[in-house]
Formats: sequence, structure tokens, C-alpha cells
Amino acid sequence: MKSLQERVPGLMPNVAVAFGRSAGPFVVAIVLALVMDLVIAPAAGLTWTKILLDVGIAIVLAGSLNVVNGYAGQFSLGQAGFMLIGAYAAAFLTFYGSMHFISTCPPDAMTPGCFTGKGPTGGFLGSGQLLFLAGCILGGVIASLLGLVVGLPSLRLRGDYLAIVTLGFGEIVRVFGQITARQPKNVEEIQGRSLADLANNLGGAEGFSQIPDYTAAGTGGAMFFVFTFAFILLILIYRLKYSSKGRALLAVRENEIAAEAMGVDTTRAKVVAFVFSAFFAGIGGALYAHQVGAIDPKELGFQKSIDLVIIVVIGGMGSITGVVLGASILVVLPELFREFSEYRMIVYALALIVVMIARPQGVMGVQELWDLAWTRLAWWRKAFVNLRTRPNALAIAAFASSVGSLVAYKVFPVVGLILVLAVGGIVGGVFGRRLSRKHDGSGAGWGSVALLLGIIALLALVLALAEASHAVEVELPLGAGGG
Amino acid sequence: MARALFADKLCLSFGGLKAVSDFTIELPSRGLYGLIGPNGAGKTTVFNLLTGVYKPDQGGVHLGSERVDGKKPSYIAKAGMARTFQNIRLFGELSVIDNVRTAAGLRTRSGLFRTLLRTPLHVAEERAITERCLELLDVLEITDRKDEQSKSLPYGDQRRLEIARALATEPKVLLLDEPVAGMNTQEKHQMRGLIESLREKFDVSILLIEHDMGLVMDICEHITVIDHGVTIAKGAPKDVQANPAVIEAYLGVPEDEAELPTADVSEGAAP
Repeated sequence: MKSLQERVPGLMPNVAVAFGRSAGPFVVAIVLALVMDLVIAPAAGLTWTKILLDVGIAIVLAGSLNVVNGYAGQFSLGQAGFMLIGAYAAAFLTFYGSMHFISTCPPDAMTPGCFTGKGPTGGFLGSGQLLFLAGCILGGVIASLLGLVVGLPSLRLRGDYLAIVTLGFGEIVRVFGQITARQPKNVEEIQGRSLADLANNLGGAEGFSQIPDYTAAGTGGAMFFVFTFAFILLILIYRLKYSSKGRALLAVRENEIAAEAMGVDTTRAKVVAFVFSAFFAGIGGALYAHQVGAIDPKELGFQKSIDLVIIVVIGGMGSITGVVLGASILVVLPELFREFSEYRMIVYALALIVVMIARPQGVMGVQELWDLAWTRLAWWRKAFVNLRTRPNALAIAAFASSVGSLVAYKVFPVVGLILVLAVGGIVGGVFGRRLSRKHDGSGAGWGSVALLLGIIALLALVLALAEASHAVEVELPLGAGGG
Repeated sequence: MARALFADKLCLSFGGLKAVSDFTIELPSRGLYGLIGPNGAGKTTVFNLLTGVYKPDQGGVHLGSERVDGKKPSYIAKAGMARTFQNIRLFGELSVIDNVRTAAGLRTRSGLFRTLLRTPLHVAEERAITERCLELLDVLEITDRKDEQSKSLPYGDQRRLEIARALATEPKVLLLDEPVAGMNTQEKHQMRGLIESLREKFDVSILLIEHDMGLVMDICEHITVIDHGVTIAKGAPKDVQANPAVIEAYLGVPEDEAELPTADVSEGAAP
């Protein structure tokens, strides 16, 4: 049989097409991010823009964590640590760097513009935003270097031990953040000092505040930056998942010994995943810092790491669409139920418990949305083949006749619709369960759902009818009374 | 004939227990050798020594002209040694084809950046992987199950998948650890034909651990017998079958006989 490398020359794609496929998605991502910034942000209003930005940042952080926790199956609890590093690095550059490189502050006076949290922008992709972009990259690079330092020794550990080490790392970063020197409060303190000299002035336990708000809701370009990074990350982890490198990571998760025996350098694979993840955690931290406008080390501790792990677990370990779903649900739901204040956290916790009992593998499991569509299609195709058997033909006939008779009798529209749903649901449910018993049982769940919906719809119908008859009875005297 | 694998006096102890002592084997290219012994004799330990899971206390492993003992298993796999596992170790959540693709990944040249940028080389390599893996599944006759989760396969197909996965690494030496364990007569018969055909098709030398004596005696050119980590006999199948030390190891000794000096016997039986 021909070896792999012998085949490669014959399978080389057309260069132009390959370039389009390689760069195209990034172009689309940037255009989409621009659309979000220019069209969706103004339409959504400040509150929803803020929520969308939160979702975007959560996607960057949880999506990158998914590479370590989901793909490679290594339980890391240090994501907030990398986030904090990235946040500090980027904020350092935009806060002190603005004054050094862009000098919107006149050297002789304390200009309000320097310390109000409104950084210099110079318009879209002007000097201020470019500096911010550089800050994001710097945050990512420093975080990934630290990821390398932490990952090399600790990724030899497994399971709980790795979790403890990464947890410890996150706490160390937090404590280091808290013991840095105070942040200067006026321009004179900064003037005449080099950037290296200021490296320790990160605010300490008070926090690092008055960071320019490049990614806060209402700032031009906020959506663009957040979603450019979010979309790029999604493209990258998609490409990773469906490639040799990604499969190697999945193999490490599934069986480390077998993976090693099949030529996967497991330590290297894990470290690379960890460094990749740290890079985007750093960027996520940078985006977060410039949204909030301040870094409080206490906010980015252990709890933040847990929150991110929860997004990955709920969405589905190793699923890209799962992470997007998980990030959206876990960011949007608490916002929607904000009016219930403290109680929402109880509901949140209960929801987590329910999901873990009902679907321990997460909402999406390891699958993606498009996988689900395919399996469903395959199931229906199988079911279709089985239609010829007599009981199924009968079931379909029953279903068709019930629908047909309803249409024929021209029942009152709404009641008729409910009735169709009810009968259709029950018959379809029985039908679905029967089909799935004939096959692999994969349709049993949907059959049950259809059955349940049918019964609910029937109950609703009964209640509606009862209500309607009741209303007719009491309405007459009330109507006379002029209510 | 060029030798594909040469293990030179491998020794390994776990604490005070000598798991393997002075294990030597010389496997010619396209050879099909057998390694047998009673349960707990140290056969799988030998495989673990050869593939780098354990590092030998003494002795060397030469794969072709390269010395590979002390290297990581992944390095040895790249150097051209692949194995299957006695207790099946598939990537359970992955599909059948992805199990094989994962193993084929070690012959790719594109790294992380090429992967993330989807360069033409990466695209071509991924196509080549898929093409070759589909052919492998064809050879092992599990093509119609390619999209199923590997953990849901029946036992016999899981063993086949293990072999397909090992072959995907393009090995020069293939170590099969009990490939027909738990199979019925018909499946064994099919597997036997398959194992024999692999040598020609993939230009590979095979070392086989198996408890099914019929199979081993029929297809192996040369057999090594170990017991308690010590080589007690080696030679052509019919010589080994007649060897008293082998019979003793499998069936035990009559009470009135003294313990046989194993070293003499093994030398006597060596080719």
C-alpha cells in the first residue's frame, strides 16, 4: 500500500483555491465582526451590546479552555490566572503606553483625558486602538510563555493533581497581582519614568483602574475587536479539531497509553494545547480588562476559573458549538433573570445540577450541531426504509386520517390546531418509538418527546375547552354589568 | 535477509522480581515470529520493553539499524514499530475512521501553524490520510462501520480496528498481542489469513503473542517460548512443540522429577 507521503504530491490542492480556503474564513470573520459593530451594536442598545460583548469574551475564554479540558481531557483550573496575566499586560500597555507613545497628555499639565478611562482612539484602527491590539497580543504572548513554564512540569500530572497545580498557579498570579505597587494617580508621577520602571505599578490590592474602555459597550469598535478575536478563535479550534493535531489531542483524552504507542508525543501535545489555550486566555483577559475598565485581582481568581470550566462542561467537552451555546446560555440567562437578584443564583445552580443529571456529557456532548443534523437525517432515512412493514403503515394511516378528518371537519381554527398537535404528537410518538425499537433505539427519546408534547397539547385543549365553556357561562351576567 | 528488529539480552526487574531476563530475539524483515508462554510469563512485558513503555535495565533494542531502547514510545512508533494491545485500547469516543486517522497523523510533516492556517501541504496530507485510512479499513474489512463510535463495535471488529490503527503508522515491525483472543473458530480462521497477508501487503515483519497454539504453530516460522521471564526454548514450531521444557512449563512436572536446568534446553533448541 502506498505510504502517506507518496500520496501527498498527487493530492495537493490548487494553490488559489487553497489560499481562499485558508484565508477566506478569516476575512469572513472580520467582516462579520464589522457588521456586528456597525449594525447590530446600534440596533441592540447598550444593555444588549454589553451582554453580547460578555458572550464574545466568554467564547474566547471558554473556547480556548475547551482545547485543554475538552479536546485533550486535561482538567485545568488555571484559566483565570492566564486571563489575569493578559489583562495586566494589555492594560499596562494601554494605560502607560498611551502616555508614552501617543502622548495625548501635555507634558506640563494633568489633562483629564489621560485618567478618565477614555483612551486615545484616533478613530477606527487609529493609534489608540492599534496600541490596544498590540496590548491584546502582548497579553496573549506573555500568558502563553507562562503557560509553557507552568505546563512543562505540571502536565506530567493527571486528573485531580493537574487540577490542583493549575488551581495553585491561578492563586499565585492573583496574589502577585495583589502585592504589586500602587497605581500613580497623576501625570507627574509617571513622567520621566520608563515603561520598565513602571512595570510593578499595577495597582496591587486596590486594583488597576482607569483602563481605557476600548471594548466597553458604547465604544466604537468594541464589538469589532471582541468578535474578531472570538470568530478567529472559533475558526482555529474548528481547524484544530478536524486535523491530525486535534485528533492527537482527542486520542490523549481517550487513552494516553495508546496515543503514545501510536506516535503521539503526549507530553508535547498537551503542552502545545496548554500554551495555545493560555494565549487566548491572555487575549480574553485583555478584552475583559478594557471592557470593565479596571482589573480587580480578586475578581479573576478561582471562582472565575470555575465559571469557565462550567461553560465548557455544560456546553459539552470538546464541542465547538457546545462552547458557543454554553457561553451564550450562562451569560444571557443570569442577565435575563437579574430582577430576581439573589434567587437567580439558586436557579442557576439547580439548572447546573439538572443538566449534569440529564446530560452528564454536556448539552452537545462531543458532537457539533451539524453532526446532530446528520445523525437525525440518517435516522429518518433508516425509518423511511422501514415504512413498508404493516404496523408502521397502519400508524401512518392513523396519523394521516386523524389529520385529514380534522381538516375535513373544519374545526374552529385554534382548537383544531391544538387537536392536530395532540393527535399528531401521540400517534407520531407511538410511531417513532415503534420505529426506534425496530432499529437502534436512537429515536426512542424523540418519540417520547413527541408523545409527551401530544399529551400536553391534549391537556391544554381540554383545559382551553373547559375555560372557554366556563367563560361563556359567566360572561353573560358580567357583560350585562358592563365589566 | 536484513533484520528488522533485534532485541539483545533485555532484562527488567520490578523491585526484586525479575520480570524479563536475557530476552533475545532477531526478527528478519517480512518474518512472522511467535512469542508464547503460560499466563504471567512476561510476554506483554517484552512488548512493553520493545515499544518503550518500560525501559530495560540492561540490553538493547535495535530497530533496523537504529538503537531505540530508552526512547519514548512515540519516538519508537515514528521509528517504525507499531503494536496492538491485549486489553483493547481504542479511542472509544472517536469514530472508527478517526481512530485510524489519528495513528496516520504521525507521518505528517505539517505542524500546528500549518494546521491552523490550512496550508496546501496540510490539506493534501489530510486528504492522503483519509484516502489511506479508507484503504486500510477495506483491507481489515470494517469499511461499513467507519462512522460508528469505536467503543460500540463488536469485539472481533475492535481487534481488527486495533490492527488497522497500528498499520496506519506505517510500521516496519508490527507487534500483535493476542489478536485472536476471544474469537470463534470462523473469526480465527479469517484473522489467520489476514495476518499472513499483511506481510506482503505492507512489507512488515510481525511478532505475535498468542495463546491459540494451533494458530501459532501453523503460521509462525519461528517461535520463542518464555516462562517467568526466562527464554526456555526457541526454534521452528515442531521443535518447540517437542521440547520437554515447554511441555513442562505448560503442563507442569511429575512430582518425582527434579527441576530441569532450563538454560541447557534453550541452547539445545536454538537454531
